[in-house]
Amino acid sequence: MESLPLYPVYSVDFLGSFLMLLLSLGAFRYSLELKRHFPQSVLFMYLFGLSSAFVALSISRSIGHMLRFIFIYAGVPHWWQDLAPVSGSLNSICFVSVAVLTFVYPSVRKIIHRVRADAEQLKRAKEELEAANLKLQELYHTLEEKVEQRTRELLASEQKFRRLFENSGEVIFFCDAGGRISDINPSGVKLLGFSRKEEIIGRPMRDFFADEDSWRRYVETLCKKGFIKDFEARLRSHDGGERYVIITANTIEGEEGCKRGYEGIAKDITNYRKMTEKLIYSEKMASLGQLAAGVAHEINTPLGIILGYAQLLKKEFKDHPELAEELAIIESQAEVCKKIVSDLLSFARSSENIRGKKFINLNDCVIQTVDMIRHTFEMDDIDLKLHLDPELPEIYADDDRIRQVILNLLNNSRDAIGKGGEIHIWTFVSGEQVIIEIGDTGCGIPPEIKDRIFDPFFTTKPPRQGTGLGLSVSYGIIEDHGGTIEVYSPPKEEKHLKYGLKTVFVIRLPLGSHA
Amino acid sequence: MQRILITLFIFFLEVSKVWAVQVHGPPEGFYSHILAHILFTISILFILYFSRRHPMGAGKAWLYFRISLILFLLWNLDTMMVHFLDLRLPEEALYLSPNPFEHKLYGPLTFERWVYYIGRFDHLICVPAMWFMVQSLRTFYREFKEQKVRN
Repeated sequence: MESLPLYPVYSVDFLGSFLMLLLSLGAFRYSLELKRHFPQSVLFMYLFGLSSAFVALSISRSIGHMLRFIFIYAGVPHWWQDLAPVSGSLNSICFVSVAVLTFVYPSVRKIIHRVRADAEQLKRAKEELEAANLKLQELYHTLEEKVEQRTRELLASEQKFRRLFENSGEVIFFCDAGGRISDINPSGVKLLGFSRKEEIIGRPMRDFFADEDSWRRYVETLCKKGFIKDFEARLRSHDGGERYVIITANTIEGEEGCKRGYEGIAKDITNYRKMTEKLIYSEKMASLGQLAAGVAHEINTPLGIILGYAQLLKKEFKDHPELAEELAIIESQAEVCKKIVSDLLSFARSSENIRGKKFINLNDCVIQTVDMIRHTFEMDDIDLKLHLDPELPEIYADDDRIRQVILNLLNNSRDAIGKGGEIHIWTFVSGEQVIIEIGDTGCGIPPEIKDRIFDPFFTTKPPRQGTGLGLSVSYGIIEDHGGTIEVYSPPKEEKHLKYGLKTVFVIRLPLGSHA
Repeated sequence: MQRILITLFIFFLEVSKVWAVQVHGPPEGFYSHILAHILFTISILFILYFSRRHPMGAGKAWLYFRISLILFLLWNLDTMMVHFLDLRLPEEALYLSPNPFEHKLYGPLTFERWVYYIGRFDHLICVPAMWFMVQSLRTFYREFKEQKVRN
């Protein structure tokens, strides 16, 4: 074989070009559809570009191959010679386009992936943000509801405790670290004798303790233990009076454990204490009365015999003046003893005395007694001032014994005044009682002996100037009448204070009943 | 605009003889065409490497796509080889009479001339390459359409 025919090559070229054209158009169609359906796909964009370049390449090459054959066959080969460079250049451009697309594709893909990743991230972040926002809104609503609920609960609690604080009969107080009262309830204000809370707030608690030692023990215990329970203390009120309280308190500790102050409750036990004291006193006086009555009865009989025999012997030996004089001494001393025994019996509330009771006017007793001693008192420059209620009802009592009580009290007042002073006597009705008050401008009664003045044989007078039975007898007589006798030194009532009285005895007798 | 069109027309008429799988006479045309082929080849190698390094997907569509790329790669090598062999072919080796059916490649029929002759059947490579490309796109289209319907 010396040569090879080229028409098989031309035939394959011709047919191949045609097929290339068809296939490239088919590829273009699919890529176009893909791009249309999936416009966001970078791969399909790339494939579309690739298919477009292949279509251009196929057209260029296919037309070239087919036209070349036709032009040569038609006898115009120079036409092909003119068109061939155009076809070749188009082919080159298509190759370059395909290459550029291929080179660019990964980068574009990468960039778009990144952009999409960023977008996805942004989307996720947005979704998370929205979810968080939603959650936050829910939380906010929940929080709002919770805050409202807590506020309501807090308000209810606050009102509950406020009511308790305001209406409590006990004293509730709060003090700061310096021991100054920072808050106190109305009961406390009242107990301390003030009218407004503001007058107390800021004042040291110490000021209200009547006893310095008591305050020190209170503070020491509180600081040491952190609490104090049932501590009995005496408080001094604004008007000078004293109140007995039982304090239960505890310290308030801050977040760091330091003491921020203390809070406590004080219970007013003044009345309870007075009643207890009275009860104890009554019991004591009753015991003393029994003792005195026993002693008096036992002594009374031998004393009567001594007195009788002394009087008999005095008559027998009236011719012997020396003996008679000595017997007279025995008689007089026996009389003194009899008087003491009689007083003791009076103190002991002897039932024999009931026989002398009748309906009497207390004013008459006062006037008769005052008339009896006025002259003597005036000699000591003591003024007796009477404030008698003219409408005073009668009471059922032994007038002699009541006069004795008034006389005892007036004598005591005179002894307390000494020279120059005033004695005031009031009578009036209070409820179901008739009251008689006897006050003087004397020296007053020292607190330490105040509890003992009604004890038998207790006296502050020098020996032989008093038996110490005056007040005991008075106490016995008043008790015998179903009444009470009390002493106020210093007095508390304004009407007593305005006259400068230092001691006031208050006798209460029951009105119109057979005691 | 008219002047530009006339200039372009003259340019196309005046350019010297260029053959397509064909020959490119003047060296510039030939070089640029060969460079375009090289670029095309490198880009195919690049996309093949890239798709292997960063797998873009699996399935028939991708398989067809890769086969298509490999065939286009072979076609490029074939056409470049034919271009170079064409340059080495003496003018009298080809009988190009007015009747194309009489066109011949004269002997002596050496290995090089056989290779040249067989190499000129490049459509036997590029047509299957394009067919696989169509199949790949068709499969993509079907798969994604089905997926879209499913979604």
